[in-house]
Amino acid sequence: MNEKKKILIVEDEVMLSAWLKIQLEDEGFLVCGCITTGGEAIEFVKNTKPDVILMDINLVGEIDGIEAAEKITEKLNIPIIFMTGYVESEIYKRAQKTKPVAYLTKPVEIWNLKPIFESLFS
Amino acid sequence: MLNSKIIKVIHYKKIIVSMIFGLLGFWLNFHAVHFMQFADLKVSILFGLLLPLIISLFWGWKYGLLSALFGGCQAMWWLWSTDGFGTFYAVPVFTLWIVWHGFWADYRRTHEHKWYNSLYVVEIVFRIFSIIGFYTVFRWLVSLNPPPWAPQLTNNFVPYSWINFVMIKHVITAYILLLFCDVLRHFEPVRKLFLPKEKMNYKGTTYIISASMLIGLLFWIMHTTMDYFVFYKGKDTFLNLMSVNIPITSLFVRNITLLIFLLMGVVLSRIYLRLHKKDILIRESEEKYRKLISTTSEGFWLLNNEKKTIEVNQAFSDMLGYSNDEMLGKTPFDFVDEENLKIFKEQTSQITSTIHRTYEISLKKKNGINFPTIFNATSLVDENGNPAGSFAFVKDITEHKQTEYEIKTIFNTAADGMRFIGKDYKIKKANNTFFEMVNLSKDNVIGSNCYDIFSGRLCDTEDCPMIKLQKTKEDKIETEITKVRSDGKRIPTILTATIFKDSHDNFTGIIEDFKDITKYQNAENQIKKDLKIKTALIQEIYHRTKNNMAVVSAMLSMKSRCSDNDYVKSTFKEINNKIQAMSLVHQKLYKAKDLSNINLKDYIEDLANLIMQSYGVLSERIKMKFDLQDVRILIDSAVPLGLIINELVSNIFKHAFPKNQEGEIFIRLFKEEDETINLELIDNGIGFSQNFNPRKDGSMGLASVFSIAENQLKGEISVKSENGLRWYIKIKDDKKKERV
Repeated sequence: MNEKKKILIVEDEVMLSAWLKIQLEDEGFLVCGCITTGGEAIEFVKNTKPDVILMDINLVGEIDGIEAAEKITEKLNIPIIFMTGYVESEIYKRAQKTKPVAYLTKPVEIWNLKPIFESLFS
Repeated sequence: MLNSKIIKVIHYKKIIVSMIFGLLGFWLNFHAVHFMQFADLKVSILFGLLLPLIISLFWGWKYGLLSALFGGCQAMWWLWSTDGFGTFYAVPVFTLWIVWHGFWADYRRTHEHKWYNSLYVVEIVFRIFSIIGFYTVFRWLVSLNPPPWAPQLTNNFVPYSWINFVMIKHVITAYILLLFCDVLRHFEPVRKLFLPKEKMNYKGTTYIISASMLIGLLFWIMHTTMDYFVFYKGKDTFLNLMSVNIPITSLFVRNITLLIFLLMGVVLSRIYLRLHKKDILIRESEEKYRKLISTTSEGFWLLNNEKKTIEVNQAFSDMLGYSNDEMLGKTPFDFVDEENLKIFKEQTSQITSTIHRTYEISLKKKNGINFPTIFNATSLVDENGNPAGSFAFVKDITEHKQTEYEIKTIFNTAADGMRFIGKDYKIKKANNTFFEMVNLSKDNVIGSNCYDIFSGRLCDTEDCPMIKLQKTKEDKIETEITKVRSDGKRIPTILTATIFKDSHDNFTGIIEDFKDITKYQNAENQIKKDLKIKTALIQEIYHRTKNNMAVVSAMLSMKSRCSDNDYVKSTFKEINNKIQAMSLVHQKLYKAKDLSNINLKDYIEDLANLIMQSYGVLSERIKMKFDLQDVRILIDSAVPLGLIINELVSNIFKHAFPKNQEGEIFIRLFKEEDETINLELIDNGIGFSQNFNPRKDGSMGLASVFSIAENQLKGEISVKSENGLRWYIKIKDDKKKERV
């Protein structure tokens, strides 16, 4: 990997996204942003196109992670990895419609992400 | 029970008497009475036959047969032994004769008396067959006798002249015996002996029979006197001429005369019975009814044509509080108040023909208290069709009225709406609650079709209670149903439909009981809603807790990066793992259906894998094997148990396999019958060093493992160091009741 891959973290728990950012950066990735709402994420990707988005589903604000992912993937072909504490089949079905790269149950650790990135960026 | 005992005693008594009569007859037949005795004509009467015949006529053929077999008809085996094989016909014929007359006596008791089933006529039929038998069977049997066989009588050939003579003798004997029986049947003492419960009075016939016998006896004495003084004067004594040495012709004349008198007695008795039978039956009937009236619990009241009391029973006078004498001569109007007087006048004015009337009226007791009664009154007319008074059966219906009032009150004040629907689907009755339920007045409900007033999903279907109750023969149908009022309002109810039959068990309709469950249904919906909210809140709490723990874990992880000290880093990692072990419990609880317990199997698998990942151990190097049963555990036990597992599994990864050794971890979970949860953690690592005591020498983490297991979970924990370590933990998840 000559160029660092840009990762956008959308997570309303700042401490969780901060810890994730540290771990990702330790592994050589570039975290281009840590955003807490779906709306901000949609705006962010218009200007900065990340290589992958780590998207929490249950976000503060009017737009949840799935909705934000839907809007983003409508215009841009950015791989999305969902992170959630919820495992309801309804939410899973909704999420699947956006064709995510992965659907991870929290707590998400670096060792969960590494194999996904490896296959995504290989 | 008592009746059957009495019947048995009577039966045994009849058997004994039948046998005694049979034995007496046996003995008596050896002393045949000479009825006629001329040089070539002698008729001897076997009077022993009379006894089984009487038994047979009074008690039926079965007892007659017993008496005959017990001796009554068996003496002839000896008396007529000279007939040889002929006795095999001649003797049983007498037993058959007894049975024959017994059978017809039974028949006459259950059927109408006709001339052709009378005693004397049925004898003709028997006698014809008996004679045919004598001419054929008897003669053939005698022909089988080996010669010489009683040559003075029959030898082995019976001439027709001999049979002719015997047959005449048999006819005479039979009819004389039947006549004697008939005489005895009209004699009251004999009837009382055989039929002790005889209701009919036979005094008249007893006098006639006695008189005929007396006249016969007087004639006997008169004839003896004539013989003594005229025909055999000086030849013999009076006593000899009367009984012991009666001249042949005199015996014949006297016997015939005696028979004629007895026959006349029987004929006169029959005429007497025929003439008086109606009176006797009426008298008996009157006595029966008088007894009935005096013993009935209903009052009896007889009025003459002037509406004056001429007879009352004790029950009626007791009802009114008067004595019988006080009531005689009084009119019905003396026992009613003004209000009821109108009813009485109206009813008594109808005494114009023999009509039956039933009506309710209140009578006034002697102490002035009114009480309700029901009158069953019948008007009487004489033979010319003129009014001859009336009688009534009066029933005190105070209790009935009280019950009726109570039922009516219960019906009208019941909390459930009730309606009675006739077979024609019309509402016949309904209670006040039902009127309120359907928001209609009584006039609008009664007589209307049930499906117009309060319809539901069962109407016009095969499940309509009216149809189903008739078809299935069930007594009751209970179902939850929403009924629709005529104004369109829907009312959720519990419907109980019950079949209704009249006193003759005929289906007359159904009773429907509606319990309005609107309030309950609203309350149930509210409870469901509240529960949903609470469930969501609890889930949110679990989610939040888990999230918060993740945040704490993240903060610790970040903080640990600030230190270069390995011990500090390791400590942070251990704490982080413990937080994750607790966090995993909340994650599992969030998923759990009842939010109070988790499946330990899933939890252990996930936790062990999580710890493995946190230590960056490859699954190829240290293999994990599980044998876990589905065991559910409360949150109170799950968190401490998770901390134990975390500590022990972490220790395995840290210490059991040094220098990247390969190894295996085996975790087993099972529940015993007494609900004890067993957890076993086994590794094949290096184990403890010799003389290492985990309780004393172990780290703080190990000490906490013992402390949590024994003090917090009140369980047992033990460890063995044999080819690695073997941890055995036993806990009971019964320390706290389930929270939800």
